[in-house]
Amino acid sequence: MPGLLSLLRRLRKPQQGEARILVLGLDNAGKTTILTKLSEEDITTITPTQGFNVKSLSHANFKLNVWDIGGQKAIRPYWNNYFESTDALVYVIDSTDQKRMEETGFELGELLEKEKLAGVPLLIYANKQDLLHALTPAEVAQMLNLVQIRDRQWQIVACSARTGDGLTEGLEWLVSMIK
Amino acid sequence: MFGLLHNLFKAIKSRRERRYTVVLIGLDNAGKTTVARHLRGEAASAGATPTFGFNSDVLGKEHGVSAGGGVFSRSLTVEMFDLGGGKNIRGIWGRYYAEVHGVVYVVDAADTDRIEEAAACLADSLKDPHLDGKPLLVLANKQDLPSAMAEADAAQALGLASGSTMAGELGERAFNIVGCTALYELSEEGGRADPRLRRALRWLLGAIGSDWTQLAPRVKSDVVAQKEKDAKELAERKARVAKMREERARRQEE
Ligand SMILES: Nc1nc2c(ncn2[C@@H]2O[C@H](COP(=O)(O)OP(=O)(O)OP(=O)(O)O)[C@@H](O)[C@H]2O)c(=O)[nH]1
Ligand SMILES: Nc1nc2c(ncn2[C@@H]2O[C@H](COP(=O)(O)OP(=O)(O)OP(=O)(O)O)[C@@H](O)[C@H]2O)c(=O)[nH]1
Ligand SMILES: [Mg+2]
Ligand SMILES: [Mg+2]
Repeated sequence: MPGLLSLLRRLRKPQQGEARILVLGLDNAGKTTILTKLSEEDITTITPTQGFNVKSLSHANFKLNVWDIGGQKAIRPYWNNYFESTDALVYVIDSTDQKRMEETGFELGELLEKEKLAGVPLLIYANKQDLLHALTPAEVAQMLNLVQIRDRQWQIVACSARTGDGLTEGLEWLVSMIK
Repeated sequence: MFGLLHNLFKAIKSRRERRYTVVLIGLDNAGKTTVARHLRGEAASAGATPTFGFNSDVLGKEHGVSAGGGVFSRSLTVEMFDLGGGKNIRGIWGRYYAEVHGVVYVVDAADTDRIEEAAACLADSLKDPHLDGKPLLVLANKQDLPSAMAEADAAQALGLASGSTMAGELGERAFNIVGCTALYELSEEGGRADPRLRRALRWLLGAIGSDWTQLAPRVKSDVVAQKEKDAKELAERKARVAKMREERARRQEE
């Protein structure tokens, strides 16, 4: 799996300037693991995020800042500190956690109503596809009511942060959407 | 008297402003996103990344979209939903059918290996009652490739020709199949838009226009019904989540 940097190098339409990507989702969804994998670093020592992680990548005249925020319930109220000047939103789902599909759909619904995130393109990672009970992207899309979204472009991508499958497909689209 | 005139004026005005909604479906790699870009006048020679969800584009006058002419010329906008065609995302298509006035089914006419799959997928979509009678445009795309099936062969292979399996599903709807090349640089006229594509769109808009008195109220009431259903689901979900949270908080206190 090629990492973020090689993705930036391969972009068909080279981007200019600076962009900010915000990564959100419930705790345990795999946000930090995804970002770590994309940075081609070791994923075995990851612990729940108490605040946030940020990775910055540059290529040519383009700088990409990716913010990964902790998803534990107690931290969620602070998500809105990070909305300012977000160019693209990544929302990570644990596709095996059927019990919390309602909760994560609810949190996502709240996010999409935020004015500061209006019109921002949305990438959903249906993560943990390496596990047996993972729901398919279409199932997740139905359960999260993505089909009701009309005010922005969205994509849902099946991925596994553990194996790296699917990670760059989604991100390539998202980066190409950044204005 | 004034009120009457005012109402009349309003009626004419609302008749002048129309918004059509169409959905682009078809197998992955058929060329839906490329078609959508082409219709928006964007060169799409560099190839598109696959869609795993939902793109929406709005076409207006600047894209050569119009309905009717003369004094009663209308302002028309067309919203296109471009959906992902991959196997594991196709399941969402049906959720858009209630609110569309017409359907564009894109086929890679050069991919003979997958033409049967394309036929089955089309047959499946047309079974949805929400699409009954709605105008259908099939685009036999990628005509620039030497192996591409021409319109007539594509119609046959897709089972749309009379006497074949799907002729029944077509029912009374307005139907057309058009060969085209959505890739800009490869289309005829030295890298300009493929005129067949624009003409095909005009045909679809015309077909929607002639069915409008039936389509418009039907779509409107279907959308209202869908919205009510969605709102109800959302309210139920909110209640469930709130209860879940309460329970969890209580457990933590104990
Ligand atoms: N099997 C499998 N496990 C995964 C995958 N992605 C993440 N995990 C595991 O899920 C757990 C949570 O991953 P994190 O990356 O810490 O999740 P997070 O979303 O950052 O969680 P918070 O920081 O608490 O918001 C870890 O044990 C990961 O190893 C995956 O694709 N497959
Ligand atoms: N030769 C040729 N290639 C085309 C034509 N139209 C599209 N393509 C190519 O076919 C591939 C798929 O096109 P897309 O527009 O992404 O297909 P899609 O139907 O949107 O696919 P999904 O989003 O996966 O459902 C791309 O590489 C396009 O460049 C055409 O008219 N001729
Ligand atoms: Mg984390
Ligand atoms: Mg597409």
